[in-house]
Amino acid sequence: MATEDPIPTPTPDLGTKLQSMPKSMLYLILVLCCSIPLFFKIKVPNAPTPAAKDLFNALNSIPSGSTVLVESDWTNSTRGESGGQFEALTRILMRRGIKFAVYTAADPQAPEVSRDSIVQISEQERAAGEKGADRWNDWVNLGYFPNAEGTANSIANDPRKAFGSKKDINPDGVKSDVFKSPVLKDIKVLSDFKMLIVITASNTSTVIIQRLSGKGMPIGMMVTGVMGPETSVYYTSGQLIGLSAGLKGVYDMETLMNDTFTKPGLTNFGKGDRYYPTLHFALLLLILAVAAGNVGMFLNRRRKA
Amino acid sequence: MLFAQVQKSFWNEESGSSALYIKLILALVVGFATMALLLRMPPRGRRAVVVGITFLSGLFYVAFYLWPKPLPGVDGTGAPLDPAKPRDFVEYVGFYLKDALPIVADFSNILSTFLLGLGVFSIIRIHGRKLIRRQTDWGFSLVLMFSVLLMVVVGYINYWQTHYGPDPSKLELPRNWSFVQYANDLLFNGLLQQMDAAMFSLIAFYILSAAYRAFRIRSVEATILLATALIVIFSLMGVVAFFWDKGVNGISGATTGGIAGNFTLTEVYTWIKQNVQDPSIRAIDFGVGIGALAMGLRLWLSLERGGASA
Amino acid sequence: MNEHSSWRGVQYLDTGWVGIAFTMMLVLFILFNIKRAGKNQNLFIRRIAGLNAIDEAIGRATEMGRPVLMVPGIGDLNAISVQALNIFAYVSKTAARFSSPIRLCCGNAAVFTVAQEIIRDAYQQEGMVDRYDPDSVRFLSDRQFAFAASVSGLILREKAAAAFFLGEFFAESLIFAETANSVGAIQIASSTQSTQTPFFIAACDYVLIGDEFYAASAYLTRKPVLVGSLIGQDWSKMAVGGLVLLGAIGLTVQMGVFSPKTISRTAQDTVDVPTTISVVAKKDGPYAPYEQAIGTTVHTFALKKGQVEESDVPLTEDGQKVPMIAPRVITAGDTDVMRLFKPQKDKTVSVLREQIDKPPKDQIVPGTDVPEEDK
Repeated sequence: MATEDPIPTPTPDLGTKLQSMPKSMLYLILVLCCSIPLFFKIKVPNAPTPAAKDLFNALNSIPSGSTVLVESDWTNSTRGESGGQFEALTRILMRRGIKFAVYTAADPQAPEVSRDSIVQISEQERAAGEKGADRWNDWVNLGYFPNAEGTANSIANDPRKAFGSKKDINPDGVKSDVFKSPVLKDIKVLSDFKMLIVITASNTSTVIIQRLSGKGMPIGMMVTGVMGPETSVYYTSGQLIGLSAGLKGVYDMETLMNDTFTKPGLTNFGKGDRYYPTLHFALLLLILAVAAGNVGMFLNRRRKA
Repeated sequence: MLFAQVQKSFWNEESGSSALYIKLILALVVGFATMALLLRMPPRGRRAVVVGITFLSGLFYVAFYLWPKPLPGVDGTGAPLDPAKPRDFVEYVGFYLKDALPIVADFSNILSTFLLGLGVFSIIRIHGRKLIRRQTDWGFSLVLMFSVLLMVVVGYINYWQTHYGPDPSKLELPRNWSFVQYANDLLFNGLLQQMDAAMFSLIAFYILSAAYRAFRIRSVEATILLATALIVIFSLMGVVAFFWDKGVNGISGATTGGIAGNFTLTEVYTWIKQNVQDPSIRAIDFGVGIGALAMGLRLWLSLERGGASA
Repeated sequence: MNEHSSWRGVQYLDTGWVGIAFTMMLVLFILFNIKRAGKNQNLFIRRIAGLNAIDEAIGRATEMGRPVLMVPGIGDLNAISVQALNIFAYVSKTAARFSSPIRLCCGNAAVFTVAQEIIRDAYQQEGMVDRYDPDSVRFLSDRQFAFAASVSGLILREKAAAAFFLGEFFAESLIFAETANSVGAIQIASSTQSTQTPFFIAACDYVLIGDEFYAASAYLTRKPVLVGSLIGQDWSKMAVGGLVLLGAIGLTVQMGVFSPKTISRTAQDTVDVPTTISVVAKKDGPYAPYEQAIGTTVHTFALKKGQVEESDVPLTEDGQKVPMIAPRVITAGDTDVMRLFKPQKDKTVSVLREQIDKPPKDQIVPGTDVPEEDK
């Protein structure tokens, strides 16, 4: 025999329900929103931002054969954004025949992550009939520098001293002074680097602006979406030559590459193209969740009134 | 030789040379003697020493910032100088400060490394005690201690083999890897990096739940905030931005110009970014920067008597 | 200046003397007010809600018998983390009085060692050293997300009743705030990273915005040195504000508010159709492609949709040819010509404006090269 509940629990009305959706349900929908689009190829139309265009144009205007400095301060935790940025950047540099020296000031893991990415991109480029990039001749790995502030100061002071103790593997398999490499042999002062590109997921961006801005070396940045607003301040003030922020920034770079590098067989699209549709669904879910909460609040208010 | 020393000075010696070892031992002796002396001093004297050292340490960076800087390797007429040599007092000090910078930076790096040792000691002490006394959640401590040990052992053997082993450059290629390199790869790339990425991606869930909970239109300000947020979110959605802009341009009758042209999503977002977002971030940054300057001054000049907590 | 001048070959590369003089002025403001405040004890500080809530939060933790959690961010040992520790010293003193257990989690070894000292001092000053547990100040990990995981674990296991997140926070801010929210902790937070402040506002009960963080110790202790320094900071902010205003007025005048010339949006027209515009490169400007140009050398490029080609390679002042730049893409509706060649000097402004406002009529072929979807 069923026992009767003496105090029946009131069924929550729609307003209350909308305002108190369980977190687990929201999280489940988010998982679905983020994963399902990955299985489909969805082409999203895109208009690149002026900041991303500026960065792309600046990279495209560097004379072939010159050297740029790349500060790679990202690891796999932000590979969705920074990984895509770095891949786009290395493709552009390789295709344009620009040499690059990569260093890190944020995370001891970063040099290994960036090196793997460069090797992978170089192989892909070669498979498509491009030159790719050889370690030592086209790029060097300067490794990790603890103390971002001190490192940036030293670089501003004298790049030859800042990187002086670093060695990289030359084609004979011997570790040799990086300044003997074709990449760095002509670098005497900071402005010999045609540009500094910072791919970062940490506050090294601010350190770079403080220590290296206005020293005759243009600076471009590729940052995560969250960092976009704070970094954009330096773009509008003219301290950055260009800026690519977040997944939209990655997709912007890829769109611009696709317009420029039209040789058949080249890979222009990568992580940006793959993940950008997912961002749409996640943001849509965010809008719907906020809307639901507010509709619930209004329904409850009307009921009380 | 481990690393090439680019610039010789009092503070460095050739790697592996006996002069280096002598200097290292001397430095240790001087260090311990100073420490013993400090401990025997009365608190007042100790404070004076601490204040003095703090001031001198800060003074270097202040002098570095204020002193005119020599142009690297270029003389007064712009011709390259190699090696750059000072010709008068101002230049001499300039060069001195410039050369001292990497050494001072090394000092702070070395200090941080020693302090890291203290940090690791704290972890081992807390979790070791938990483990021995079988306190609540000791299982977690066991996992932590085991992970620390494994990572250190594998990491160091791998480091040794890839730096001082028989043929370090061979180990660059995975086909020449031994068990240690595979283990290191599994721990570093397979576990640590993936767990890092997993923690980072949790933020997406938290953003959703925080926005759902907090974003309620309870006032006029909240309404403006929500409307602005919507515009920014839409502008991040390429599809919405593309068709919105196209629609507005269609109304204004051209791809460019016209009053309606000001209401494309790109224009509206750019306006918000340049006229609302950027200035407010700048204002906050100015405040924070000046606050840091004031704090830095108080610390440098030891103006907060009785220590930071007094 | 004679050949043997002591300033020969030496120069201010960094900020120029204006920057240094301005910084010195701010330093003077702060030091002067610290000195002044020593004499005057009645200086006003406005109410800061987040700081008033500290006692309430600790009281609640005492009632519930749960710990008070403090995190000074994951930054290095610098002014920010020391300031956070200063506030935590106050929190610890209050917690010591209430006999509330505390947990101070550090993500940086240097901060950890200083924190140990400061918190022990705080207990000592309250005369309650016996209540100080050395394990209450902990170093967890210097890896960002390992630290985030361990702090979250600690919050969940020990069910902190009050949480203070003050200092330099990055992506981990929301992980902390939401986890603490899930166990019902009162949260008082502040990040000097402006990008993280919105996350804290969404998830925490009280947030100190921007330099309120630096005002905190003055507000809590009312020590003359701190209050004076705070007033010095306000003077400095006013000076910066004045400078910004001056710059805005100067730029407005430079842009030609008193002349009929306007910078218009017609820049788009010059790239939608094949035409020729003259652009000016600034010698020391941030625009890399043209850094070789001397002074106000005029570059002329034929711009057409698709690609840009250099039609007339200009000469620099010493007769050198400006190196070719690589072709670059200009897309339909492109507005960045104005941006890329943004003029800095008054003279160059007029050149640019004329060229952009009035592109040579004969070269404009409307509709050429415009893709189908744009028509």
